[in-house]
Amino acid sequence: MTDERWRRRLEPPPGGLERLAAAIAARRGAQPRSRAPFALAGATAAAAAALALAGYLREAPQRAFERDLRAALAAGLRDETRERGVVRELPSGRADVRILVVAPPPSPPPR
Amino acid sequence: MALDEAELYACYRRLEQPLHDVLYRRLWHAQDCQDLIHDAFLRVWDRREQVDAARLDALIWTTALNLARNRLRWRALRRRREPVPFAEPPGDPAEHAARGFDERRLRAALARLPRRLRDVLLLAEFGGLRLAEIAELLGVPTGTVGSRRHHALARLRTLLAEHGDD
Repeated sequence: MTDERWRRRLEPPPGGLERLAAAIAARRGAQPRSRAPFALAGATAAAAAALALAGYLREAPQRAFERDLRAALAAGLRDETRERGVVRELPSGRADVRILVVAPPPSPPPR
Repeated sequence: MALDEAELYACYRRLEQPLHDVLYRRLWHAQDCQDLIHDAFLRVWDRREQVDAARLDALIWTTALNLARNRLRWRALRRRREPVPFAEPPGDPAEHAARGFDERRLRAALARLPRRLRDVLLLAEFGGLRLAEIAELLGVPTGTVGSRRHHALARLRTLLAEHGDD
């Protein structure tokens, strides 16, 4: 068989382009696939994580205060004025009321 | 960046003939070839926002060749091992008989070529692609494509001669 015979060009079935155009016209209303939904989901997750971190940091002083207070109560401060760590108990006129002051420990005097 | 409709249709006009010529020598069924070309263009159109128009031809070729491989695997799974009947166009029956004979010989010869040689041969001889373009599609060096094409042609001519010339 000669090269010209086996290399013979074939005619595609007619109507291919019209069929493609019709299929695309049918899809015209549909949105193209995009990465927008994935990007939006990622941005939402990042924003939620940032908000959670900000909340955690904002409440850090409150948590430290509560931790120190629990430690002072657990230590059983009985004296009218007694300092343990950063918690200092002040005198109270009533037996059922205790006044605790939570403050940072005094800084060492400057040299 | 995004592909527009006019570019896609221009690409269809440009590639329909070579795609059909290549795919027909893999699937041996004209309507299957048109369906597959149609599907390849629609798949690319569905991703038009991410398609670089400058690389559209390569993307269509890659998609169509992948779809053809999937179609052949599907056929194998369905155990459709019997030859797919040739779809003869209307016209002179004697001419069609001669063409059908040529096609059967070519099909038998191509089936005996190793895949790496056959793929290069089809893309070069029927797809009209340059060696560098085939290299990019198949992911092999250009020199390898040239060598494979040379060996494929020689082997094909031998196989066609083995079946007897007329």
